[in-house]
Amino acid sequence: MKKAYKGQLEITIICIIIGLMLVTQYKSVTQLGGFVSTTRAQELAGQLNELKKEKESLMNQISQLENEIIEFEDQVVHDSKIVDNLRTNTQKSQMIAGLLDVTGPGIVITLDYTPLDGEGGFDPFLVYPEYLLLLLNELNSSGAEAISINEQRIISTSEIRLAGNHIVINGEKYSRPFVFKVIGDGQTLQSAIQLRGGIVELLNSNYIQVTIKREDEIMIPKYSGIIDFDYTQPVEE
Amino acid sequence: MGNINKLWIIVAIFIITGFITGTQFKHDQSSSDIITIRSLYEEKKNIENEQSEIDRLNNSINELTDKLESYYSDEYEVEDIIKSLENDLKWNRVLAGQRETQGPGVRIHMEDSLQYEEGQNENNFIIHNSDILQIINDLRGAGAERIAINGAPISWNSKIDCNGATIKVGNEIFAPPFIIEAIGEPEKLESILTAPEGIIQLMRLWDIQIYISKQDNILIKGVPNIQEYKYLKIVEEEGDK
Repeated sequence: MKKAYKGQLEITIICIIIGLMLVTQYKSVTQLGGFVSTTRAQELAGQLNELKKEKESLMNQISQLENEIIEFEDQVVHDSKIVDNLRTNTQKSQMIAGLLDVTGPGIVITLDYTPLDGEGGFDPFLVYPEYLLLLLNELNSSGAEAISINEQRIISTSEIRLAGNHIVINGEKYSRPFVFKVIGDGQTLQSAIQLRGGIVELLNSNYIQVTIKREDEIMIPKYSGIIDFDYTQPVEE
Repeated sequence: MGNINKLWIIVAIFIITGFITGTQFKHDQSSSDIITIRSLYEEKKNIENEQSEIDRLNNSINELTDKLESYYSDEYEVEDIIKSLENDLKWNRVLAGQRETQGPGVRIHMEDSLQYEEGQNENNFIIHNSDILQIINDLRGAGAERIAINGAPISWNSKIDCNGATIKVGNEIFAPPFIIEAIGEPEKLESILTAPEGIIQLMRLWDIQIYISKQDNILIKGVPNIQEYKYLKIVEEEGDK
């Protein structure tokens, strides 16, 4: 009898441990968003697509309204210096904020990586997402006037963030290759990043291929969303 | 004999339980080949972001239609149009970072580690420009609207360079302590900074002293004398004069 009791005690302990393990596992799964199923994922993807379409039509509506307003203003105010002045200043601010399409000479930098052994798991962009930030900083140091990465305009609230197997820029998901379009003095920009011991060398030493092309005219799109400050208020001058 | 029989039953039960949990997990994996819980979570967050973006768009549509309606009403005057243009200019200057602004947010106070001893790699114990770049990037990800380092406002094209023990922000040089201020939702900003895998946690490992505090009101100056653009031109839209 004593022997039997001894065994039962151990089994009870084992059962308790297994039970605890299962429960914590389950808990951590539900905390991260519940059960995973393909249907649920498809549902979400469909929902996201619909929202994107809705967003596009809303953007169109907005630009229509804006045009209508400008037309009306033009009809009412004929050749007013004040209006012209206000408009040019607004445009300047919008250009700085990244709310207008811009063009100019500069360089196009393509960052890519070719896996050595077919589709290996290693991807330098996912290991060192901060290198994109460093390149951006380097370009800003050398007088870049406008930058886009994979057609996403870099503005004062742009983030470059790792999310799962993607890099998120301005809330959109991207993976390699990454194409930086930079408007500025091509010569300065190119030599700044190709400096000995500079950012291109750092990227190369981490298996990232860098291609740089000088161009006479680069088009950089405006920021694709709306910037709306909810917390920032201007201090009255 | 009886005891041994019982033992076998228990062994059998464990094997069966093992198989059941094993197949269960395998089943889960086959049905979620690429879809992991994490990616689903990301997807959900994307949908939320998209939804808030749509809300914003709807808001601005409402504002624009209101404006048009007021134009079409009989009471408009030329002065009203000028006033609305002035208002446009004011907000675009805020968005471009040209105006002094205020709002709630967080303040991060950072000082180099005091723990440095002879023979250790000193690079680990000081604050680098790449650390600051990452903190700024994290803050932007959490919806920071305006950011300043030691009072110098940061715009999209601010350069932040290493300069020995000091850092260079734009043309100004700062020595520790570094103070980063951000205007935005204080809770959201604080939570991204204190996230377990965040850069701040890593820096704290090296005993870099970091204090984060929520603020009711932060003042951030306008970006001083915006550079003149030498290369940039605006693309004229079709239909525009």
